Amino acid sequence: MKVLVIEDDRSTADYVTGGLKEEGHDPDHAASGPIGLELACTRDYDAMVIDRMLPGIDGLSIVRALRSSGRDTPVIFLTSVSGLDDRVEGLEAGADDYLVKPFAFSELMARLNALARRSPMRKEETVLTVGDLEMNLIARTVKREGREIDLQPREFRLLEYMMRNRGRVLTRTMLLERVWDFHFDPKTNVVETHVSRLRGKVDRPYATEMIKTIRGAGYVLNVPS
Amino acid sequence: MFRPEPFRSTSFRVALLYTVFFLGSVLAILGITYVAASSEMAGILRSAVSDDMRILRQAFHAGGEGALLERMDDLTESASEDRFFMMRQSSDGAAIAGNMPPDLWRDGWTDEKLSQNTFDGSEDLKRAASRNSDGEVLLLGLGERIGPFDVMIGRNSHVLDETQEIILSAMLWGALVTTLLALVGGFIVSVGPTRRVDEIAATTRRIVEGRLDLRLPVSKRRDELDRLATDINTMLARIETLLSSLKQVSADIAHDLRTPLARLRQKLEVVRRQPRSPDEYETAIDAAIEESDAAIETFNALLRIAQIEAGTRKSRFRRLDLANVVRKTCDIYGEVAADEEHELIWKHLEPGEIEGDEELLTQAVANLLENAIRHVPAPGRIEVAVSIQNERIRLDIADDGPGVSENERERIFERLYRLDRSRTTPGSGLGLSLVAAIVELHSGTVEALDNAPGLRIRIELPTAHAALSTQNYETV
Repeated sequence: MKVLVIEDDRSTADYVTGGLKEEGHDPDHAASGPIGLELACTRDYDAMVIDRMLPGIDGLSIVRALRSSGRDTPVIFLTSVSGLDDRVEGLEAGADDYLVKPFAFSELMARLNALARRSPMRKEETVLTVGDLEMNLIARTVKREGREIDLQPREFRLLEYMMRNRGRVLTRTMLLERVWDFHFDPKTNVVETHVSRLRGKVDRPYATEMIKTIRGAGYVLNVPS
Repeated sequence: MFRPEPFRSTSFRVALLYTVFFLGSVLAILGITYVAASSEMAGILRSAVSDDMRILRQAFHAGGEGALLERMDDLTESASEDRFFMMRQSSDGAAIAGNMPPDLWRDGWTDEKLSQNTFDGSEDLKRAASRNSDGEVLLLGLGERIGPFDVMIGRNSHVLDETQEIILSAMLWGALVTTLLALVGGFIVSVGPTRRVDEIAATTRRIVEGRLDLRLPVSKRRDELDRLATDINTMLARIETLLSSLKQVSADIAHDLRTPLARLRQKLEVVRRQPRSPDEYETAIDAAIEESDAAIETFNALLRIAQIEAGTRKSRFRRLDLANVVRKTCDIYGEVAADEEHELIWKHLEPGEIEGDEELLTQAVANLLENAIRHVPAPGRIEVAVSIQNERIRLDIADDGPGVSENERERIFERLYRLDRSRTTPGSGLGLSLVAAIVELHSGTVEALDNAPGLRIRIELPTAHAALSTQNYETV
């Protein structure tokens, strides 16, 4: 995966590019807004990580410039912790995701993986299938091995998000944001409780397990091997 | 710095401005009087002269020379130092009758000044001149040829001049008195407000010097200065709160982050002291990451509270149903509570619209639910209700746990305040302060009540209608 990292803070930049290299990806680094914008416009990337505060041109302007020139490369916005409103501003400017500094590299990696797969844009699907698990988005029904599974609306949403991202690690924070619309860190086992209930319906009655816990990282839904 | 002087005050300047306007109007009124009175009096004089002349003319036309001479004699009898008559022979200019020299005859209207040497022995002219300081006479005259005679009728127009002088001097005195009165009045009027502005300025200087607890004096008059002072006092109160909150945050950060950092340092030092196996290193590193994550989390929570308290989030407010927010959050936590063997009940949720930030309200409700779930010993009963009380929407979250003693109930909303018995459970001690900050942002109140047994947290928020009207007040 070719990733452009536009970040002026040396240590954060090293942290991100170093991690990407370790994971076998190919990062380019730009330490200022103008250089970053030039690279973003002249080379092809699978994803970009852009800091909000940059010398020269700020992150918001870069994303706006990219979007208005028709480039839909996935962008993850990095915001400082003090900017509560930065998230909304970033998403409104055209970023696909955001991450508050300081962050764990595994979190950034999981989000990059989830985003990079998105392009080119697929047509709207009406049925999601992973192995013998089938979800009908119109009828809002779920079947495994042809047998219907009765899910609560929020369990349905959780499973849908996991099926759309089959094979990708989804972190606790990603699930909280996408499924529950929580933009804070709960002190109770909200995610664990709901994943466990979902497992009880989707996995437990069957021979193989599709939802797996990746320790210290998150959850992944995959075809049982 | 500004040195107070009555002559430089705004009210004095206003008084001066009024003086100028007032003076202008006094002068305008007198000026109009002057013009109107002079022309009116001149008109009266002229019509008297032309009347006399008409009588003579008619007499001549009716009765010829004899009648004219007769009439002329009548007029001459009434001659005085104000009324002049004269008739002469047109052919040689020889005087026939009158009290003024014959060579003064002019055809038509004349308005001329006669000096001493033209009097030619006329007693009436001399008398008229003697009343004037310059020894001259102003004559308004009409000369006409009637038959073989030159006739002239005149009036001493000095009386006109005199009236004009009287009006002019009235104007001068009027202007003088007006100016004087306005200046004195302006001074007196400006002394009051200036003294109050001085008081305000003195208080402001002391506030600048650091006495943030001082407030500007407000009188009972409710005038514009009082309104201004009241608004400034509100602003000062807000600034004081923000400043103390800032001080508090800095102190909290210093205090609360030193502890985990010190712990982290100790742990790392212990690992470093002697060589260990990779497994031991891994465990130590994981522990260090966990410890720093906790510190970062505390940091984030403090900053978030400070940011909410600063009030900038209000731009995100929109109309929403609080019952809806509570229901969604309870839906999520129902199962979490069930897993901990608690019963979460949210049957009574009365719909009520408020102006608010859904994300923050969700977090507030979530924090309260999590607090109850974590601190109530299982099996517990947690009841959530939304009801409307007058213009306010009340959210109650009640549990049947151990509760909080009365003297601690106020303090649980303070930053980093933790009950002794909850020191061992994880958490930053910021959850309830965050709730308090969010409620404050929504212009609401939060209190901890005794649920006998247990704790009841009660939040009251203004309804959308009430919130809107106070908001309007704020933007006025």
